[in-house]
Amino acid sequence: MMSITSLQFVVLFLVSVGIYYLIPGRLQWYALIAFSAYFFCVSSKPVTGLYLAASILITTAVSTVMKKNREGRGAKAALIAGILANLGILALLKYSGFFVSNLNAAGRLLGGPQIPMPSFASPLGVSFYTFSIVGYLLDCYWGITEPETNLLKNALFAGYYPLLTSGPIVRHKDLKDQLYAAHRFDWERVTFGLQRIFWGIFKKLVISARAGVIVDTVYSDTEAYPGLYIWVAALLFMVQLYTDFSGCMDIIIGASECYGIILPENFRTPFFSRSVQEYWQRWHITLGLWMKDYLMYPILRSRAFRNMGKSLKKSLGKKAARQIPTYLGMLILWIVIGLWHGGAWKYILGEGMWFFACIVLGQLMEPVFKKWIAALHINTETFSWHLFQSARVYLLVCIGNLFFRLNSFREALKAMRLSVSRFNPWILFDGSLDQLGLSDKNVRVLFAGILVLLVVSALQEKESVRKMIARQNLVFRWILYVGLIWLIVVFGMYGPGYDAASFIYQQF
Amino acid sequence: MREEIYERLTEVFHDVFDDDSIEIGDATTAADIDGWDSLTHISLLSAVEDEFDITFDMKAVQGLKNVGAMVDLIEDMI
Repeated sequence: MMSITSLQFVVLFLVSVGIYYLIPGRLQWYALIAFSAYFFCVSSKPVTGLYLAASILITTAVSTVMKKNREGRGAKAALIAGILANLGILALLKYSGFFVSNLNAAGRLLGGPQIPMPSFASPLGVSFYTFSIVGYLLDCYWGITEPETNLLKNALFAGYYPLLTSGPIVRHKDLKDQLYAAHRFDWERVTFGLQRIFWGIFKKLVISARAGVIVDTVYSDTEAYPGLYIWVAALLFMVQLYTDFSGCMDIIIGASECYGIILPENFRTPFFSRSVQEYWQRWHITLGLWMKDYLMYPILRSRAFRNMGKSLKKSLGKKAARQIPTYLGMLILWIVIGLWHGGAWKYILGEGMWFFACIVLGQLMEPVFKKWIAALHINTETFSWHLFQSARVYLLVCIGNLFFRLNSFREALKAMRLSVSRFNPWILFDGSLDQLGLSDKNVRVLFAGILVLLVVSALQEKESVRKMIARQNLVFRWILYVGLIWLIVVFGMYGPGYDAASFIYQQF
Repeated sequence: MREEIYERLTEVFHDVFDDDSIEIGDATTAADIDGWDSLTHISLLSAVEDEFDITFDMKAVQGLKNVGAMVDLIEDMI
């Protein structure tokens, strides 16, 4: 298993960049296929590559049919077959366990037979590449992108290795002109990419790894750590998750940038959001856009939903005719988002239903909130109000993520109960936080790291930090670079004690 | 022709966003109109389709950049 935060990866990556720019431009994309095959084989069980290969073959076959008859029944049949085959593989690998466990639970109630639990090794990135492929097939059908009949080109689209760790989920129309094109060496682009990689490693090894130690300690025994401990863990888990996932994205997007291939952004400082809805437009952006374009829009535009809207308009009026189908569509969307995170009820109820409820209630209550704001004469364009709104979003997201992090729905509920069972605010001041697996020095490094992150994020809200740095003098720039690398080397948590190898989103 | 489309389209916007003060032009985008998010976008397009008796394909649904592009498309279709 090769981690993208390991020295091994960084060295191999630099070698790959060297090779990439030394060979003729028309061969570059073949080299990317070779790098990807190598990365896949050292990062997951090579035999699981057969699933990826099957997806690529099916996708190429479907593309070929669609290219031959753009309109008509053939294209639609091929599209449906292609989507079912790809989602079928994903379902088999990720959801057969969930399906069988529910079947067995029903069996126990009714006295039926028990089925042995299936277990499949999944290829790296299966949830991510499957979604990219399904989106691509739909785009071909809708005429948004051209069907690609070249097997190797499809292999690179599905298996481009930077995408396999944790996405982003990509669109064919955005990548097709970049992936297979010749790229000339561009010093600025490569240095931008490298900066981004080191910033990602900093987030992951300096902040996320430390926050993770405290979170793990508290959540491993919530009865021993009740009250404010759970609040601290819940608040820190968001830091851990964000620096883990967005740090991973920085490394991936930066690495891809070094090859001259610009990937879509997955985060836009989500913690500055003013509402849960906005948060989900700024967190895991490519998943949200995928859901909008390939699930929400087709559902809302379906004949059934439009007819529903029309008949509701007659009986309940205009507003309800718009709201009810939309909320029903959102319900389906959030069930799918929950399921995408994993086959378990905690994801469907804790992630999916919780955020669905937050967003819908937020919208339904908006007129009431507006009245209160007016009655209390609150100026909503102030920093303090924005801070209040963002803190509210943070707290609501923390609650949803209790389900994401803890092992089961029941454990998450237990943690919620324990979090208010004890009043122990003094743990913040009496050194108790230094007893959670991190030394007092490490706790200070963690909070300093979070402060750096906050400052950089606040700057990012205004302008690209990289462009800001690029405007500075050479000497100052190099002090920054060397400083960042030094910070990673000195304060990075790596080695056997800390499992830097795994990214939280890698399991999806 | 274009003016007539604009007249009818303005009515649709007023109806969908519940705001009679909305004025639209070629360069108007979702960012200019309060409440025009990805979900009301679908309500808006459905209302436009009903008004002009046309059907947008998914490429148009996802790809319309501004009101001008929408009017171009309506012009082509009616």
